[in-house]
Amino acid sequence: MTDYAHPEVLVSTDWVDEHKDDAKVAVVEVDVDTAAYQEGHIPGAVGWNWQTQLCDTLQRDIISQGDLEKLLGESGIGNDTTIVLYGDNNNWFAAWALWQLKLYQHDDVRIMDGGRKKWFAEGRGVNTESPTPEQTTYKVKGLDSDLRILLAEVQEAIKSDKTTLVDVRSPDEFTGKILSPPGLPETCQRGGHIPKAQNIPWGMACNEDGTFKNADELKELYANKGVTPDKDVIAYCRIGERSSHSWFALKYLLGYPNVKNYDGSWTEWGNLVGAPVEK
Amino acid sequence: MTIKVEGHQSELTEIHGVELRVTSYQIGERYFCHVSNADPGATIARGEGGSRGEAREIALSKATRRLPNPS
Repeated sequence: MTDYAHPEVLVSTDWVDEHKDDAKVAVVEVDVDTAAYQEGHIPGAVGWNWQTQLCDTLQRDIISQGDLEKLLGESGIGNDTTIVLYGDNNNWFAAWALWQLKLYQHDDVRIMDGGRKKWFAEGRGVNTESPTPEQTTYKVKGLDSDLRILLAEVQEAIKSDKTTLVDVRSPDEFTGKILSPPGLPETCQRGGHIPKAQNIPWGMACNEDGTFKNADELKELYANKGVTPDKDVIAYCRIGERSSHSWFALKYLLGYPNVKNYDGSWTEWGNLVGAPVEK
Repeated sequence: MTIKVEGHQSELTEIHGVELRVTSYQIGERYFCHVSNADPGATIARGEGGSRGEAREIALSKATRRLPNPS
């Protein structure tokens, strides 16, 4: 992992096996499939539900500062805790959780490379017991708004040649052939993509075992589509979670200085009246 | 009680023209199977049983019902 710009944000399954019981380490599972945690998880790992615990459940937004402080406190996490996130589907929603924790400026948050898939494929130990961590008092330090971009800023940014957009959805979603992935409900009125966007599906950043590709492979993947460190990069998908994964790869594994996640993504843009769309 | 995961397997299949990933494994005496869309990988159906075949059949049968049949 040493060829990455910030190797400290990734840990291996071996590292987690060795450190999962450390007092200052909290292992947290966040899955796309919210029932997966109950089946079996890393012993001692807390489970977070992305649909109810990592968002504002009233209005469409990320988790509020108060709710995050409550969630972390109940999870036994303090400001000085090392949070290790992992999940199913190559850490798709683990990356979503990491993005929000970075937004709220938690000091030390990492991803277990390969996620649940690698842990299970390696035949490691799991259990079904939910831990009962000792309550802590967590205080958010601040908000790093450089990591997130909202609609009005995207509309302005696409006018600049310095901006490049990475649409990390599947090619069929990008071209508008389908409105959402198979088996998932439709959530937009129009198919296609934001003008200027390049299609680099999020899964292309991963190896077959769920780990991230090495730095040279990632550099090539993005540079081949004109996504280079000198640009202001905006990543988006359908609701902002797949793009958190690509945002993580660009921001921390490649060290691109200006990468933002557009969590409004296609379910916002594709529903806007009068928004320009390309197919 | 900590139990080791055994027999993790993953394969691709297709139902109603949709490419799917079928993942199965054993935890203790139970077998689990998930059927996800191959891209991006969201779970469509899951099954659990006393054998891999039973868990797989339950998950695939649910997925077949849930995915739209173009015919």
